[in-house]
Amino acid sequence: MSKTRRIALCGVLAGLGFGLSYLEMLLPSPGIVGAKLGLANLAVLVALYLFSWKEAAAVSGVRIILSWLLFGSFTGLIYSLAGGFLSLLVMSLLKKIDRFSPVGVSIAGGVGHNLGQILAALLMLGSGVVGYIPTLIIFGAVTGAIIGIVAAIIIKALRKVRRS
Amino acid sequence: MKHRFRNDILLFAIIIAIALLSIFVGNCRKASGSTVLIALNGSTYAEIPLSKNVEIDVDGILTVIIEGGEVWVEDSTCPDGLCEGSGKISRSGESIVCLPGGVTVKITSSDPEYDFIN
Repeated sequence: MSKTRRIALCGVLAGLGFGLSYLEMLLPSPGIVGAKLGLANLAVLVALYLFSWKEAAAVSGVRIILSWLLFGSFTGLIYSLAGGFLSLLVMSLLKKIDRFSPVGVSIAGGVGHNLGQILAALLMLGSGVVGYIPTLIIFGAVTGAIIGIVAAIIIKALRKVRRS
Repeated sequence: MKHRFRNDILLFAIIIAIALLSIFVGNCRKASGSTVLIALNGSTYAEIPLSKNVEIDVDGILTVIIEGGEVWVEDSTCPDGLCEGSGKISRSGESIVCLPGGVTVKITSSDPEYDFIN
């Protein structure tokens, strides 16, 4: 794939991630402090599988900065960056060891995202947030699995398109 | 490919098992609390005995109400209102968190042996 085409596709994925973040804002909150569906992780996962961790980091970073500029607060940005960073780190490592399908990678990513956010909250707010960790881990694993199944279908379809 | 699918399920099961186990252990070690610790952005804002009946305004962000050995949050100015929806807490180790407001409310026990967090 040419460099131009790769950059263009990354732009599309970042835009998609941003749109998904907005869509998630419109949906009702799951009712647990710090819990999110993580729809935007779809775009990051697709970038990770079609290209590499670098493109995935770019898609994730652009998405986070854009959401922050348009609807976020500064503390929100810190939580997003912590979650996005840990999630991408875990997903890149799991993809590299090549023992899991995109679904497994996404499960770890969902858990990593929620753990990253709660660790940031732990640093900023103190130990009062510790009690939320188990619930957030379970929530991250479940949403990660759902997002992973959808991402696996998209990745398979896009690989076919890329070959043709 | 088959192996990967099996690994995915294993990973999911292990994560859920660890989380459930830590919830279970946390619940077992919850004792009746004695002190309410309110923190704003990581530093202690107030420390009140659970036996008192008071209403505390935390920097205009939200109101913490302590009454009859139970603690809950009202009148939050945060956008999601999850702290109000957290309900009432009364046992050591339980907490209410308002992420947008940077407020945590935690019940601690005077006996450190029974405190699951410390």
